[in-house]
Amino acid sequence: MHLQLNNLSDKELLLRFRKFREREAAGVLLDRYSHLLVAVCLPGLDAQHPADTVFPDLTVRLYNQLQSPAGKINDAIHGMVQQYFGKVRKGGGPQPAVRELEYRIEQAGSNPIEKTALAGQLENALGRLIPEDMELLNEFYLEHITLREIARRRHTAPAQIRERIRGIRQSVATFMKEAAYE
Amino acid sequence: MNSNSPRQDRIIRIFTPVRCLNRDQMLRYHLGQMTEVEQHLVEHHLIDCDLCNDALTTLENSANIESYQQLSQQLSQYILREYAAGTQPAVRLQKLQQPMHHKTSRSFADSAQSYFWTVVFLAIGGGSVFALQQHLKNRPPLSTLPLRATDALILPAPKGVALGNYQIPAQEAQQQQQPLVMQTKYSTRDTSRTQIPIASKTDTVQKKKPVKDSAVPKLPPADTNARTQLAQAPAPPPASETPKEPQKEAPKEKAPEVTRAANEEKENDATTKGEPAKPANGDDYLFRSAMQYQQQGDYGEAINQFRKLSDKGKYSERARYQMAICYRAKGQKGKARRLLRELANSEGTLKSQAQTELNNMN
Repeated sequence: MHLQLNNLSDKELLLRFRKFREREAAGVLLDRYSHLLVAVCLPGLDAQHPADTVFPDLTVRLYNQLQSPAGKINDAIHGMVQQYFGKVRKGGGPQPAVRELEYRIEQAGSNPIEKTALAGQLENALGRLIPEDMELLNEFYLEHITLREIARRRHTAPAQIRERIRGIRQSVATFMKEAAYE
Repeated sequence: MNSNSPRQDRIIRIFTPVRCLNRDQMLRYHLGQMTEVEQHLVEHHLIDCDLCNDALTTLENSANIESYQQLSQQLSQYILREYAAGTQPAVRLQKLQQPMHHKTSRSFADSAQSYFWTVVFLAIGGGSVFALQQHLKNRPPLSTLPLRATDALILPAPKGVALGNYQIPAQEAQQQQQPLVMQTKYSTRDTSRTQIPIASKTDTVQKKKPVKDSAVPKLPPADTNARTQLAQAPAPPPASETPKEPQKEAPKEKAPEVTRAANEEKENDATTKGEPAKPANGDDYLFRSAMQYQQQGDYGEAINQFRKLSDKGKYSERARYQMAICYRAKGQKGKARRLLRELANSEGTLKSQAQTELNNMN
């Protein structure tokens, strides 16, 4: 049973847990993200927050949070850990416009008409970007240049490139949303 | 179109979600052991996922790698142990208790309903059986049935006793002298004074086995159609045609039988003349039905019917006599003797017959 659940996606596991109250599905989901949880929590562990209490506490909180729909799991875990250790969340958290656009693309699936329509809308949105942002997107997404290489070319840190690309994505998603409303 | 397809796909992939990094990908990315495609996919995901980005940032510090691996393994084991399928934590138990309660209450309701319907069906079945028994016991009186006085067949007692070369025993001759009232099966046809044709078959049988029937001490039939037919049989042939042996014994027993038969005939004439077409009451019906049961060989039911008549009424003596006959036919000779003895000790019309039957049984 555990092996079969491992092959399911996050959405399917969440569905089984919320609909059928399968505790094992929640366990598989928590186990899937446990290494990320440990890595994120590792800098915050100290005498006041020992691992023996932090991780069981966080898993229980996560388990309770999974019962209610709360967007993507990685966002939920990250936000909960930041809150647990009293840190300010960098980057402003999840981006609703981006999530919405991702959902539309996911729904389009293998429908070529829908995908073509979405691609046209995306081209229009990308056309509204400034040339520097468009070039950065082309380098990263179309030419598959790594973040380190882009950062090296621009004499900056990869984290800044990541933040910049993230901002561009947010802008494109916002343009798409505005185009949908018009 | 074809030249635009790869660009289309790549543009759409900008916003295609990618799964978070697993343990293996984390270490390989950190160690730089990924292919270009895989690395691009990881970086594609890192743009959007703060969790994986922070995790990889933590792992950039090599001092954290060992503790990461250790804690990651421990947490994984803890989660597998804590959230295994067999475990029943308090939260789950609390969730499960409510449906279980509903289930038990529902099963109880189902069982109660099934018990209720079982009881109802048993009650209905028992009631119907009881009603049927009561109906059979207390049949409606004859006036409610489509019986007419003309349906009753009154068979007068025979004047003569001997039939052909068959020597009827004295007790049988006495029984034959009783006028038999029969009902012809509630037929709607007007069968007034219908006389059943004489069973010549009986005569032929009797002719075939005269010696055997006379030799074997055969129990007389309780009261059958054959006997009524015998009663209506034509007068015996002249004495010259009968064998010699019956001729010798016949005159001895004929004299009283003839006088008794004459008396009975007179009584019958008196009743038929004095009470013409009198509607049959419940006792008549009971007696007829009892006689029918007796003729059909259902002695138990016949005894039941006769017992109802044996206490009072004009059929009481005859009913007791027939009861005795039925008991004897059933093999309950003690009861038969007791009844016959009572009849023989009484001063009724059937005293002599009862005494004769009693003597035969002894």
